[in-house]
Amino acid sequence: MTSLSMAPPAQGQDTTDSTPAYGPTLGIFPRTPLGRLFFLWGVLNLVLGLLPVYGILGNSAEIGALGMPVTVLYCYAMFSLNCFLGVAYYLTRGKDCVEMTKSFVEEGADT
Amino acid sequence: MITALTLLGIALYLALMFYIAYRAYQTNKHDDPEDWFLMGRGANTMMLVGTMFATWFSTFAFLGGPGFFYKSGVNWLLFGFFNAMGPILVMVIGPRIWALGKKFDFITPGDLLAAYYNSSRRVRILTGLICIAVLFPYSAIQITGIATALNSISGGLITFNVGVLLIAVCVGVYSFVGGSRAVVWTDVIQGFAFAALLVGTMLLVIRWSGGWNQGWAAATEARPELFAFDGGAGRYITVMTLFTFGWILTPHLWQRLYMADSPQTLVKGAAITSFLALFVVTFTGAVIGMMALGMDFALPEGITSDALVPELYAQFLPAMGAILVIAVFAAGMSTLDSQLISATSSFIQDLLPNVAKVDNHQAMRLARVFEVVFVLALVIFAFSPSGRQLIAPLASIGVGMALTLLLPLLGALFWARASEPAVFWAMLLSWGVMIAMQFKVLPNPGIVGPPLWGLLVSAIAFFGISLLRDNPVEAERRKAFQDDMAPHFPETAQAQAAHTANA
Repeated sequence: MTSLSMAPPAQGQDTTDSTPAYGPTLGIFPRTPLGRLFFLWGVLNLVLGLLPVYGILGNSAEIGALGMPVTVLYCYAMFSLNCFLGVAYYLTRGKDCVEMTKSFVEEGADT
Repeated sequence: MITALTLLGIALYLALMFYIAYRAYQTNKHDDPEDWFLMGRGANTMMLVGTMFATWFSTFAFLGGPGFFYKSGVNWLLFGFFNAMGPILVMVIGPRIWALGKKFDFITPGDLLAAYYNSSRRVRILTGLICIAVLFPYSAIQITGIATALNSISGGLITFNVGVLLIAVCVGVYSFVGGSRAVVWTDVIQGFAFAALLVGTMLLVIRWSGGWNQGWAAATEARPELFAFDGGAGRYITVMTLFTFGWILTPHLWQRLYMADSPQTLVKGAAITSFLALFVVTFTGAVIGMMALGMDFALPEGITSDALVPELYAQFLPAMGAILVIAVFAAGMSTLDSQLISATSSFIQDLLPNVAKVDNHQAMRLARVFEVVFVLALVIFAFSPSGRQLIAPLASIGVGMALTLLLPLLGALFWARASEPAVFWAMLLSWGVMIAMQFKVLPNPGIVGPPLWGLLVSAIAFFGISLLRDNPVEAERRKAFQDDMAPHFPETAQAQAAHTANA
């Protein structure tokens, strides 16, 4: 069973505002520049992934660099960007996030 | 000789699994649901990577994946996209789910959603039902898939029915005895075993093809039409969306976010899994499946492309038969066992409390009863032709049904305006639309598949109802889930600080 017990709002805290201006817009679109950059990177990956499907870029049976067919090479190069997005996210946000989450849990344990 | 080796290999493998289950049983805290379902939130990086990897990649990665590349060529390449992107989403929202799970002792997806949405009973029941609906057909397909593959690879030595029973008994026993701890420990071994075999198979296929350059040249020359996309973007978009979010929304994967011993483990594990998923599973599958197109090799008449890897070994290295049987066992069971434990947790946490008041001891006894019933139901469906007919269309949108949880989750984590009625109706309507379209009760307007139409319905209901009626959840819940969390994460911390400064 869960141990959900709600702390009352802090004194002076406005809890009537159901649209705080710091959460992602509609729960989806980040508000900070770096957050938006990561979001756009993800969307760009999606778009780049679809370009060969529409025949716009990287859709060829010819042998290209590394001795691989162009379509295979293009797609795996593009998919690798997803992995590098993960590394970039980890380096810029993940470590901070780790420390902050730890403190959050410690606070929870103290209360 | 090969038959004896196969049987010996299976016997040794099963003995190892049962030994691990026994050790897990000795370590488990009995009558503690958190320990039983989430191994006490104690998974370290190696365990988490092993279990995320092995849980997500089933027999399909070993048999269906290379087979799809062999049959469809580059048209299956987007398999790589979602397997690399899915773990990234774990990094983005996983730590919040982990922190809330740790703080409030959440075990299932239903725990989190119901807790945020005003302790809603109907949201909890619906989430529990959706989780079990996602897991049951997916599990049934696993069990029939493994049994079919075993029958084929063993040359009929292990018949379909014997295979189903063998898998059911094995998975049932070690999950029953060892709980999630046994599942995670065995996942680590199973995941790395079949990953090693995939890499080994790729290297052998490159060698059998005459080398890297020669292999690709021969393949593109033999079947050039399979090395350029042939259109059908709607299907790609459906598959990409479905599985990218499926990584985090399927109940057994969601629960792995609770299992980590720290958020650092979670984030690091997800980053590693992203590389493993892309390069160890999908890239090896692509090389095996596509290079085979240029080899002096053809699938025998009446054999589907799923049997590509076993047939390659049968023709080029028959002595590997015993290892293959074990690999198929490992790949399939590592997914099936996690699904079994996850379905049981949904039953115990989300459904049972609505019909009976039980303490932890009784709940854990009932959990074991449910596990046995679930496994028996899987066997019955696997044996019944009509059951298999019913299961097949459900399994094909299995992960799609998990998309119904996407917006409710984002609402709980990030959007204070989200309301309980909006979430309930969004989940119910989108689930209904997906199933109705899948069974052709509703016509599919086309362009994309039923899961994305369901997601669209979910978005309309979720945002529409939440915005039309300003009826958010209780202020204390918004504070606990969002306001109190905001300072702990860079994205919301910066925006919250800027907001405060402006105010």
